Parts: sequence; C-alpha cells; structure tokens
Amino acid sequence: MARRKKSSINPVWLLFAVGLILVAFVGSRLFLSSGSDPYRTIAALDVPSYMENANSLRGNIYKAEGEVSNSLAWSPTAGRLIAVDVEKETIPVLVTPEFNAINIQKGQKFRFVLEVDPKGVLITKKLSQL
Amino acid sequence: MKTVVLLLVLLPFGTATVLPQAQVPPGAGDSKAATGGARPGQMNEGFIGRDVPHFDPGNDVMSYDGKLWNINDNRLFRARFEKYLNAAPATDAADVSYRQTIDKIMDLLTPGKATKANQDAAFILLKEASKYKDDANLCSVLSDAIYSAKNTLAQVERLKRENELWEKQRSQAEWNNEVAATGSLIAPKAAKDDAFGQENQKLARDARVATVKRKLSEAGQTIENNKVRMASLELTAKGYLQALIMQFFATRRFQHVIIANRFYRALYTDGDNSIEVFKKMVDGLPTNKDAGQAKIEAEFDPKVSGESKGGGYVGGGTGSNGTGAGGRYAPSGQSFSAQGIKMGVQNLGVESLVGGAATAAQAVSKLINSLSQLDGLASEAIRDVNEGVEAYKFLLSKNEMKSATERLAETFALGEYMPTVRLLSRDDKRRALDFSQKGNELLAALEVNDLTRAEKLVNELQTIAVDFDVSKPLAKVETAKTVSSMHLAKARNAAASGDKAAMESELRAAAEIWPRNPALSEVGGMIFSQSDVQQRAITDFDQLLSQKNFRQIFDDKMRFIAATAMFPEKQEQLRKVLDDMALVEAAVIRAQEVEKRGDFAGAWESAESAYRQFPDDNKLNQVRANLTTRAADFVRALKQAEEQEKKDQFGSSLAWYLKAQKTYPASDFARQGIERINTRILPDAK
Repeated sequence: MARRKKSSINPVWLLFAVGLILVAFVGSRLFLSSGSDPYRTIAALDVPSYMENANSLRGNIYKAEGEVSNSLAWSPTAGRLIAVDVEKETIPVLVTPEFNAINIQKGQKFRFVLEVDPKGVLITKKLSQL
Repeated sequence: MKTVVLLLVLLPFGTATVLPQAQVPPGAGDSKAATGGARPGQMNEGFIGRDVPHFDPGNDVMSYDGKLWNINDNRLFRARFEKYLNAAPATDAADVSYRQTIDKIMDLLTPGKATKANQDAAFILLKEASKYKDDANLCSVLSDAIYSAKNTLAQVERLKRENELWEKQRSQAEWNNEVAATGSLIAPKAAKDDAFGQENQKLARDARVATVKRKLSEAGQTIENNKVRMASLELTAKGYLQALIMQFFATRRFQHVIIANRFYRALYTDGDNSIEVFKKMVDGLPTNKDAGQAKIEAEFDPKVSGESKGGGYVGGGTGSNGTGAGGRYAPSGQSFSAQGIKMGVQNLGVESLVGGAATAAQAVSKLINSLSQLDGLASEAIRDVNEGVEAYKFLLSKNEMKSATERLAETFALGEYMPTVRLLSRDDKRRALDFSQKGNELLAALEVNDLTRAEKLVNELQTIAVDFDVSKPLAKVETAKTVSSMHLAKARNAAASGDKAAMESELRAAAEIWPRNPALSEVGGMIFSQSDVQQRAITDFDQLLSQKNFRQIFDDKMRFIAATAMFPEKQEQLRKVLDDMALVEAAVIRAQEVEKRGDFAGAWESAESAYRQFPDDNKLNQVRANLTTRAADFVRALKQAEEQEKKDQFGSSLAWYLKAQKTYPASDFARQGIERINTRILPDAK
C-alpha cells in the first residue's frame, strides 16, 4: 500500500515567528522601562563627587534613589533631615515641610529630586516612593 | 705629814715665786666643812695663816697665797715625771759608788758610832761623794759649811782664851787700883794732919789710880767685845748650817739632811737643837710688801666640759713688770668647751724675787721648830718613799696601772733623789710612762674634741690598766657623739626643707663638737651634692617645661618632685604637668587595651581624644600614628568630615560623619559631628 504523504511546517516560517516574538518582547520592555521614570531627564547625583566636593555641585538639581537609613533631625519649619543610602554611601537629605504628608520611615525606598544648596545640603524638590 | 711633804714638792719648782695656777675642778678648795660655807676655801686663814701652803687631800688641791693648784695635773711636774720615767736606772758604777759613799758617811755618823775619828772620816768622804754628778756638789757645800763652822768654833775658842787672859789682867788691875787707893796709910803723919799735906796726898793717889783705872777699863771693854764677837760668830755659823739643812730638806735631799744634822750635833754639843737662829735670820730677810710677788700664772690643765650655748675667745694680757698672753676657747653651740693654755709673768723683778724667796723661807721656818724634828721628818720621808716604791711594784704586778702610776708620781714627787726611786728599772717605769702618756693624749684628744681618738685611747687605757675608770671619759665621748649626730640630723632636715641658714648652723655646731666625725664629711658632702643635684634638676625642669617636653618630666618625675620640694611655684607647675601626663598615660593605656580587642577605630579614637588635648606627647603620637593605619577608613571619613565642616560644607561633611559612624557605630567623634552638623543645618531642630 502506498504510504500517505505527511504534512509539515516550513522551518523558515518557524524561525521568523520566533524572531518576531523576541523583537516584540524586547521592544515592550524598553518601552515600559523608559516610561516608568518620571525624572528620566534629570541627571543622577554623582555621590562620590558630591562627597568630595559638594561646592562644585552647588545650585544643580539631581535625582537619586535610595533607602532611608535613619532620621537625623526634624524642624517644624525646615523639615526633616534624613540619611539615605545611595550607591553604598549614605547621604543626608533635607525633606522640606511640603512633603510632610508623606510618611517617611526607615527602610523605605524613595526617588528624590534634589538641589544642592550653597552649604552642600541636598534639598528635596520632588519625592516619590518606590 | 702629807702637808709637809707636799710643801717640799712645791718649793723646788719655784721657791714660791713661781706659782703654777692650774685650772681647778669645780668645788676644789671649797671646804665648806672648814668654812661653814661662809667664805671660799682659799680664803680660809687656817691655824697657820695663808702664808703657808695648805693642802686639801680631798681633791689634791694645794692652796697658797689665795691660789689653787692641782698637784696631780701640772705641766711642770708631768714633764719632770716623764723625764724620770724615761731615764735609765741608776745602776752604773758611779751611781753604785756614790750610794755606797753616802751610806758609809751615814753609817760613820750613826749615833753611838760618831767618834771624833769617824767624824773626821765622814768629813773626808764628803769630798769624795761630791765628785759624783748625782750629788750635785751638795756634799761639797756641806763640807765647806762644816769646815767654816769648825773654823768659827776655833776662833771662838781663841777668843775665850783671850778673854781669860784679859780677865786675869783685869783682876790684877783691880788689885793695883785697890792698893793705889789705900797708899796714903803709909804717908808721914805730919803730912796727914796738915791740910796742905792732905791735898798733896790726894793728888798723888789720884795720879796712881788713874793709870790702873785705865787698864781696868780697857780689859773690861775687850772682854765684852770678845763675848759679842763669839756670840756673833757662833750665831752666824749655826745659822748658815741650819739654813743649809733646811735647804736640803726643801730640796728633798733627805740623806743629806740626816748627814748634815749629825755633823751639826757633833759640832755643837751644847744640846741646843732649836732653829731659832734660822728663824731670826729669815725673819730679818727683806720682804718689801710694796714690791709684791713675782708670779708665773699658768693654766696647764685643759678641761673639757659640756656647754650648751655661747662661746668665744678671751685671753691675753700684760703684767705690771712682764707680759702675759693666753687664750681660752669656748666653741659655740651645744659642745664641749675647751680651756687652753694661759701663761703670763706678772710683777717680775729683783725685789719681788728676793721677797718671794724670803717669804718661802719664813713659811718653812713656821712649820719646823728644831733640827730633831727635821731629822725625824727626813727619816719618815725616806721610809715613805721606800714604801711607795714597793706599793708601785705590787700594783704593777696586779696590772692596776692607774693606781700604780699615781703612787709612783707621789713617790717621785717626794723622793725624787732617793736610791729606791732611782733604782727602778726602765721597763717598770715605762709601763707607767705608757699609761701617763696615753692619759695625757686622752686629755689632749678631749681638749680638741677628737672623739674617735679619745674613744680609742680610753679602750687602750682600759686594756693596760684594769683599774682605769672609763665611765667618765666614755660618757663625755658618747654625749658629744650623740649631740653631734643630733646636729647632723637637724642639718639634714634643714637641707631638705631648704633652710640653708639652719643647715649651715647645724653643720657648724656638729663640726665644733666633733671636728673629725666621719659622718660629718659624708653628710656634708651629701647635702652639698644634693644641693647641686637639686639645682641642676630645677634647671632641667624649667628647660623641659619651656620645650613642653612633658613626657621627659613625667619620666623623671621622682627627681623633679624632690627638686621642687622647696619651690612652691615650681611645685604647682610640676603638679599640673604630672596631672596632664596621667591623663595621657591613661589614654595610651586605654587605646592599647582597646586595640588588643581588635577595635582599631575605637583605639584610635581614644588616642585621638588625648592627642587633641596633648598634641606634643611623643608616646601618644606614636600610638596614634600606629592606630591611624589600622583604622584608615574610619580616620579618613572623620578627617574628611572635619575638613568639609571647616569649609562650611555641611552636607558633604555630614555625609562623611555618617560614613564614619557606619564604619564605627560607637564613635563619639562621629556622633558629636553629626549632632553638631544637624544643629548647623536645622538650628531649630527638636
């Protein structure tokens, strides 16, 4: 008896499909990532440079993400001074009273937009919890 | 007896014109029993008055003319005694021959044997005896005196015979006178009756009687003159011989006294032994009271006695006819006072010397009334001398040198020329000499406060003389040593307390009491060395303080503590340095302890804490430098924090402090830095 001829998928089409799926995944990921950082246009704070010479960064605005490690002081007029671990270093950040509504606790991660004041103190301009 | 004997001792040393005035022990001569305490002993007139020397056997003190004289402690006697002790015994042929001659003379003149022939033989032997030097020509003088007395007696005999002739002539003249006076009986009667005739007879009788009367008067006058001459000659001869005998007695020539006495008795057989002639003779000697007495005043007896305070030099002076000089030294402080030699001649002149001799002779004549008494005294003295020599030999055998020496000295003083004294062997005498010399050395050592030597001599004396009483000299020595040690201790204390004046005063006092004290130079040297060391230490302290080298001061703290003891201001500076260094040391120790636990940051922080207060301490710097390398990250973080803080970069400064605290959470520096920066950032922080 004669053998019936088997139906089969062309391997070319299979490779094309896999490539298409891969491109779609990577594209989505890139899109998603750029779309979740609202301060992606702001330069990240160079912590080592800040520690070495904050005076050179005076007046600039930087963004930084870090975990609150300690609360250093609080002033009803000037706000809260907290210690934030950023890139293996700990930097002081002054959270102004406008962010009093935000409950800042040790161990929480935040994204900061910071301005370097003339005394080298990092003043919080924007704040968002991560 | 002893008074007479001591009188004899006194006379040959100066015939009473030389009166050694020795320093007399306290109380000497103060015979309250005799005076009832109403007047001093030397003022006591006594039964023989003050012209005659008086001896108080209680303290061996002779008083004469208001002066006191210790017979046992006299320079002149000591010198004479020592000369005798060093002399060889009188045993050579001449000495033996002399003694034999003297003995022969005495034997020939022994009562009962003193015939005319023996007297002549003894008289001849006098010339023989005078040839020996030991006799000092005394026998020759005696011989001359006897010869002179014999001549006098012969002359008296001649005068007696002459008087007998004159008596005959006077008897004849008296008879003639009687005859001449009665011649008128054979005249013619007419002539008698006649007045004219009677007148003529009277004239003729007067003419006859006148010649007879002249012869009669001449005889009577001649007889009386001869009697006066005889008496005068006899008195002169007797007086001269008696004076010679007295001289022999005074010079302790007792054998010569006896010999002369026996010749005297042989010459003058009238039995009159009184020395009234001598007394009258010496009473007539010139004693010009206005001329006074020549005196040699001498203090030969240095006495050492304890004194507590005061002192100085006194002495010197001049006599009216001589000069005198002397000194008396009494050192100040609590020490012995030593009285030195004081000599001087006062009122030296011919008149005074003659007067002194006369006074002495008169004094002797008051004691003795007859030659028999003198003979007895001489015999007694000879016996006493012989007994004294025997006693000396016995005490010598018992090793009782103190008593032996005293007995020999007494015996020598009495019978210096007696054969028994002269015959003592030199070896026997030298034992006494040794004791005597050491005794004198002891006095000299005590005089100059040479206590070491004095103590040595006391021990030596105790060894050679079992009867030597060491208690008194040793007590003085020990007392002086104790007082000297006390002064030295005070000097040490004064030096320690910085009282230089007191230190010098105490050292001086100690030196005066015991100049050769071995501890004196030792302590003195130590004090002055200490003073030098102290001054150097003070200089070093000042220098180190100016260099802020507190570590060196701390390392030598014992030296500086001692040195600044007398400087309160420097003491305060030192106290502050030592307090600071105690903190530094504590920090170093704490850092080292923490380091041992592996906590390098903590150790560094401990060292850094002290360093910031005491940045100049080398040891701390060394510890800190070592720990800096061991805790480099922590140190770097802190240093960066402080640097940024200085630049008012509070943000970065706080970041560094936080980094340091993260490295060493217990860090005080980090905590304080954080708090400080927090306050700067948030001034109104709550």
